[in-house]
Amino acid sequence: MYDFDLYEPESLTDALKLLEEVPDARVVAGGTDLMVLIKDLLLRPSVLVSLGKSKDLVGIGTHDDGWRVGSMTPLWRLERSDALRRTYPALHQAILALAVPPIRNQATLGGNLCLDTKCIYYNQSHVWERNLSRCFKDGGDVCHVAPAGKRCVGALAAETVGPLLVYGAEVTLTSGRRKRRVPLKAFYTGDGLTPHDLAKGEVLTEVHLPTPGPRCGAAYCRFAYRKALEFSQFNLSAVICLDDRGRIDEANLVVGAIGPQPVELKESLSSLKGQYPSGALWAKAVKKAGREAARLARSPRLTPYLQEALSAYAERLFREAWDQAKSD
Amino acid sequence: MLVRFKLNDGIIAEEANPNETLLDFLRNRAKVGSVKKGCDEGACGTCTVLFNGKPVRSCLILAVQASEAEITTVEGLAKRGELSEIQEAFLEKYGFQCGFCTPGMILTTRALLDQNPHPTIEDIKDAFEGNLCRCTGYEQIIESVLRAAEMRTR
Repeated sequence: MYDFDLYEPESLTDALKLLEEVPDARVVAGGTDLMVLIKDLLLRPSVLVSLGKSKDLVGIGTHDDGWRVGSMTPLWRLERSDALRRTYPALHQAILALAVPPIRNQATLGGNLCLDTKCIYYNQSHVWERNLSRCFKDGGDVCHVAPAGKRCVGALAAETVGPLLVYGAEVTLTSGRRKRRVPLKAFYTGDGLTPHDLAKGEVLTEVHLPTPGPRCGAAYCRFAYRKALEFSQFNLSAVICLDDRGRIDEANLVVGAIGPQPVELKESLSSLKGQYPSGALWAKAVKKAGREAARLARSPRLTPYLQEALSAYAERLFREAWDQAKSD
Repeated sequence: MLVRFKLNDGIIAEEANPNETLLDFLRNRAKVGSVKKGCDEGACGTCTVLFNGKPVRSCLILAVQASEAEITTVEGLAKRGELSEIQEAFLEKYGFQCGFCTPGMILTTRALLDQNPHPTIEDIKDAFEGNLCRCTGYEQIIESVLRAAEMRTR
């Protein structure tokens, strides 16, 4: 690896100070993805600020109005929490689908939310012959995935984003000067070059999860070419909330990994509110969802085959979320 | 930068560069030969070490980050010249062919059995998702883990 300096501040305050003082500093959380980017020479920060020793960023707090999770909480801790599996099953499913156990022993929740976008053209080893012209992400002026496009459509492949979105999560972003809390959805810019709304010197410090409402069910699934250690072609997170008569009060479906930001399929689900759930109703909604996802992905990445798969997976997911909501 | 941590039964204290991975540190400075460099990018699992008892990729951790930790490699399993039950089980059930992935497999077994002394085949498959065997001897590896579980609880 090329030369860089490493700092391991023992508190968030020290980390923020360092990030303010050192112009080219880069935050490293678990490092399971960042180290690969550095080895592939896709990133060349001169200074790394590791938050691994900032213990004040680790911890799970359960409160009446929901959960607060420190951004440096390792995924294995969430994975082994029975309370998390019961309260936020979709998030638990996503964590189990993420990478492989040894990586989940290192990786953190905040790190996953701040994962850089992925692209089959860009994320290649430095020994890979770069015989294509430089793309947007590489400082060039073309996108090899969507050649007609005018911007980078790298995929935000982080598994935990979708479930956190359907649970209505918010994140706290802290810098030396200010602290702000934003809905997770607003944290993603939609630009593959800078997918996160993080200002210079700002760190994602906390994730807030509201308590799910009564008669609500949420589920997650993903489509990847292998079960383990593979970024998704798409991942789906669904939530269904029923009113006291069993009609749909709220339904949401979020597709991840098809573009630089998670995509909410609002249009396909708008007609569901107030209706009694049924197999026929789901079948109709998911057919629309596949088409809407392809349109919103704004890249040829979601092929007709994947569109079909998305509809089929979504139907299963709705049934799962519905079952949960009914038994609540 | 001085790096100091507990390595198996001893303490290691050596200078390391900030950009040096734990894998390179273990192989080149601590002379621990069992930790193998396969893909060097977190995909294969042959560089697995136990970091405070949990299997991690030593190629994705910087040596400096291991300061004050407890690192276990295969060298730490055999006591006084006697192989551990897990190693015996791998020998008995032919849980290896070329042996390159074996150190990672054995350490993953150790972590699994410490946490779950009676794993099912499904548990084993889940725990070993991150360890690739290029000889594809997975069946024997699963049998070895089952045998190790049996030997350890005897």
